Amino acid sequence: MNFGYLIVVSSNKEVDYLKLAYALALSIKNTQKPGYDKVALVIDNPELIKNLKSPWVFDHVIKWDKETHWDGRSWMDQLSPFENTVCLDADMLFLRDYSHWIDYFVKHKELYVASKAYTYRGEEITSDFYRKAFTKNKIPSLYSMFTFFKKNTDIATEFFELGRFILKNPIEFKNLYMSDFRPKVVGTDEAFGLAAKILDIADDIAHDLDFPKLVHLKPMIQNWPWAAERVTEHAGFYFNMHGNLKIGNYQQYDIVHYVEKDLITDEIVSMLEEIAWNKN
Amino acid sequence: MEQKLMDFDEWIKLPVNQVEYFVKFNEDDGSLLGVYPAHASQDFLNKIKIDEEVADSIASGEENIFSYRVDLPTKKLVKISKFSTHSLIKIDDVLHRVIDKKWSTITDPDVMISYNKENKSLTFSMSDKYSKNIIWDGETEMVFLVTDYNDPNVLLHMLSIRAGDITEITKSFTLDLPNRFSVYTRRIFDKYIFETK
Repeated sequence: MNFGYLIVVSSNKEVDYLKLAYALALSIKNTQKPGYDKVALVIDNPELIKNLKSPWVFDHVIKWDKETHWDGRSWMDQLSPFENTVCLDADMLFLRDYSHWIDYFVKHKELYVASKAYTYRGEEITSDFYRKAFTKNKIPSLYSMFTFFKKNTDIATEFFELGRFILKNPIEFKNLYMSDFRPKVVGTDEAFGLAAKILDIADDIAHDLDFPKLVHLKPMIQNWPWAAERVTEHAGFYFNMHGNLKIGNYQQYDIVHYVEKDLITDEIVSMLEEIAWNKN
Repeated sequence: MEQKLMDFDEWIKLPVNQVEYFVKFNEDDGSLLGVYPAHASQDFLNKIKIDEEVADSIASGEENIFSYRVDLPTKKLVKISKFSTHSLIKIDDVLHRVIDKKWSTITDPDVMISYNKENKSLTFSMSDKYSKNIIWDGETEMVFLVTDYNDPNVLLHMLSIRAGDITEITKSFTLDLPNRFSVYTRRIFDKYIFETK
């Protein structure tokens, strides 16, 4: 089986996305079985990889600088070196073996985009606090942070081409499809949701499954009775030398999309590195 | 009558506009009643001289007379320090992890914690800035939780220290601790540092 994870980053003055991608790649190497732990990194400046202590966690490094920030992910089908790919956001951590999810996707799907997320306490997120553009305009609420696709399949090619077209023409698509609630920015999630709606494939590519389970740490969707600017204002982030993560006093088992980029400190990176070195 | 001029060499050595300041205080509890220049305080019985710097900070509103008290036995001015200098709002304030010096950018910590692996001693100390003429206002207990590395859910030891115990001297505990552990505390001061030797 030719499978791997794809992470797309670009240089940014405020956030070191390479560091986040490196932490994610380390966590993949630390938790996934051989054959399910390949990682490809797409980056505008591959020279920066030399500064990492364990650049080997990236099995492929692809130089690409046509887009900046998150827009680059919409090119995932053209950038991936794998036949079967899961494209991830850089600000995520793997905490246990998820290879059985991959077996299902490889066997049964050509394209699948996550459509559910969970709080750190394991509750399914139902709030549309950050997703009013989806609910008000009746657009499938997709999370591009976990997108599985088979390369060169008709459905994936058509979907990603339309997604890119939407990202390049946001005003026209806002006027046509998002008149009930216009988001400030049409990002990858909105573009993917719109593409699924226009192609009428939401039931094929985002049907209800018990996985992937993604913990989404945006603060206002944690079912708290108070407002918050950051999840870590109210719940601690405790990563240990066994590669386990507790948020508050809840042990995390699923993929965590931590959102707050400064949570990945040099100390946590060093812990992930030490776990990887001891494993290999 | 003609005034005799002072010798120029002596005159030039005199400090310019040097005003001395005094505080008037309550003889029963040492609380300050006012700050006065020397010429306006001649008739007061209960007064002590204070530094111009302190007088300026009170005059400018940077501090006030309630920030100080006269220590009656020694007749010295002491600063009353509010025990909590950090507001306790976020989880990182209520349960603050003391970061290892190796990973921290803090260069002027308020509270230092060091563990000597050889002697198995965990030592607490405070910055020199808290060691002179400060009295602490209110309850001054600091509780430190020694826990599993980066996991306050697994408590190894709970240590209690009063601020006054470590302002001028250090306080040590003999503890046999694992290779890696963390120290958490209620964040009363802004900057804490941890170090293993």
